[in-house]
Amino acid sequence: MKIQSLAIIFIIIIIPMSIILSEYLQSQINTINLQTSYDSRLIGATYDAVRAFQLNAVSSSTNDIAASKIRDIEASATTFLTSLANNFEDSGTSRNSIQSYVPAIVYCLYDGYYIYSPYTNDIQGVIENENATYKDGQQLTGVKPYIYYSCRYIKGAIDVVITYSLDNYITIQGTIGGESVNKSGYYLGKFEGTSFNGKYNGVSISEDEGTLRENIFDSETMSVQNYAYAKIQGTKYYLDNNNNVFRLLNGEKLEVSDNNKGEYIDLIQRNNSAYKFYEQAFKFSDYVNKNLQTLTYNDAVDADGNKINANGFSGDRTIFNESGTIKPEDSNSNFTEHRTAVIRYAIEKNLTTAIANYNKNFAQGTAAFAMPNLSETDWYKIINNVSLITFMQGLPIGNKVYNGYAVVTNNKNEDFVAKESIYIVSDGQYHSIGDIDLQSKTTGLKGYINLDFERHTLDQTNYYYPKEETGCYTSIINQTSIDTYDKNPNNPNNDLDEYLTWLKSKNPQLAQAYYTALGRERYGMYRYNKLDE
Amino acid sequence: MSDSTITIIAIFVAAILMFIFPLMAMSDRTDDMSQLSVQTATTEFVDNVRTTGVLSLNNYQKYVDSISATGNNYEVEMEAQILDENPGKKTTQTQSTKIGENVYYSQYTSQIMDELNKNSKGTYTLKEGDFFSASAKNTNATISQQLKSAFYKVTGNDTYSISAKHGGIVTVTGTK
Repeated sequence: MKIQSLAIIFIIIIIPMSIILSEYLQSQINTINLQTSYDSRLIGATYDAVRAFQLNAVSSSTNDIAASKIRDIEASATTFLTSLANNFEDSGTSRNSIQSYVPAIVYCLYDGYYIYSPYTNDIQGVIENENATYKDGQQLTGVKPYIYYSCRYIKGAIDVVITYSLDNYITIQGTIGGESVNKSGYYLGKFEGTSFNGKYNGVSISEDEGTLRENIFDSETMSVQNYAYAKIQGTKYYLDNNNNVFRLLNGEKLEVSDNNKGEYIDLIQRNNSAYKFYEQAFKFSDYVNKNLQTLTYNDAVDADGNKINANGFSGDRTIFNESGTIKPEDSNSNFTEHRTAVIRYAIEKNLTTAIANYNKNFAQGTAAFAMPNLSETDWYKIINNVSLITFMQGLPIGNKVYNGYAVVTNNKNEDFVAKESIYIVSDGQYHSIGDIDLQSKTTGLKGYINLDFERHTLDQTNYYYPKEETGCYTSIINQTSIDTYDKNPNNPNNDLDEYLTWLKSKNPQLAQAYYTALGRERYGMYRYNKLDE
Repeated sequence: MSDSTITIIAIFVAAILMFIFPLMAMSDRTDDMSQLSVQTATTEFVDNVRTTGVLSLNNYQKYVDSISATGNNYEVEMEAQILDENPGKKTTQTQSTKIGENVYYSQYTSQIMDELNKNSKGTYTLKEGDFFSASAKNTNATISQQLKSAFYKVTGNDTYSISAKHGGIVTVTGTK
């Protein structure tokens, strides 16, 4: 055969192969591109949902009340779907059709979480009205009941359910030694001495930190006014110049009746929230230390009393009895490890069920919906912050079916006071606690929660800031002068607690301002189960 | 077959192999590059509007210029979903500013452009909680599209190969 013929035969064989191969490669590239672009759309929409939640929370005075919170969550979920649909519009997607690819949206809050997902309305046995808005068996989408991060423990005479939260606040319900118990409080481990000596972690907490003031919009004079205030159970009470105490509800002033006024005026003029917080935490921790110190990981059982088979639920490490100098709030304590395990187990268990249910009852088409594996870094975010997890599944992307999720944390919320959310005011600016410039300041220090520095929108053109201080350029605006947290070479955790322990000896006034603010803000939070007196 | 026929076929095949294929591959990559830069420009443009609350004629022009620099013509579509002042009637504690619960109405490209041109400063303002999105699609056939349709792909006239879309919530109330 001639060499030309050989060449042609070679080409006839190679060309189809190379075309097929290049098409195959291209389709793989397209799949990956599509997957990345869906990932970014999902995370973009999730950010929008969190932003809407924050904006709604900041402008609402009732965000911490359950009914109002559910509304905020529904509004945020709608924002998520609208934003997602907006981003998908070029492929001809409307909000309703995108909704069928979202099996669940999870709002991880302070001591439990809400799942927003489709469900079948079950009102059997209720007399049906033809004009009723909702019918039996109808498929609806909404927020399912709140699920707590709780775990049951059985050991000897102890049979309790403990509800954990994103910080050290726990609720104990059940029986201990035949007596029923229903207690809530902050578990801070062992204090020095047998009675509260006004010190926490070696830092003395003042019984009177004076009066706090902030700006609010006064609907009567239609202007921004500065009032003294104190926060009680999630609501801020203000004292005006005529000695009237009022609170705000959707921008309207509501006066407190004369009978209860005295108590509020006392607190506003002589704020002792921080002292009370640590005093109550002392009493509660003392109770836990005495009654539950024998509880170990092994004693955890599920609702039916069966052993739980998951990470962090086996071993004989004690939950409420730390060894050595470790404090419960440290990241390497038994308490924290077990708390994280309970939160993770609670979310995983119900979420898997929710997505499986969705797959069984609502999924359209052939795609199988399953809960994706969340990465460890994402779990870390979920366990330490109020966060939003969104799922999107079942969209065809070339050779595969899309199965993605996004986790976005929300550090501006009315739910809890994270350690990082305390800002320190000094010289007309607010700083984050790790600011190097702050380390040499010893006077005029006061801490507040980050939410107090957020802008409040009144309408299209008017807004105000509750606190007049501006953000520090090197620790808030850009974070160029933040110290590292690794201050203990023997036991490096690289967390805020390590830094604070170091700060205590370096600048006691700053540590005091920080712990006072942390206590005060935590004391002022709305808690369904009030702190034990 | 005679030698000369085979030689002619060989020349054709060689021409296809040596010129058309590389050209197709190159033009495909060019489209990929255009796609990337259009996507980036769109994201930047939309994010700028979202974080400032203002859409200015100047920025719009810059955006159009930067995507046109890829050598193609684009159709740019914008949509602003405005949070209406009428609150959803769900409970007694209604607020007119609640994001996600209230009614939105949309304004599209032509209305937005009208507003931009009418206004002396050439700005269009949005408020906190509104949605803004923009998309760009190529209107001309790119070289890659032309080659593909000439050789093996059956394509209509209005298909596009470069498209970008970005949108999201506006986080700041803009001032004129």
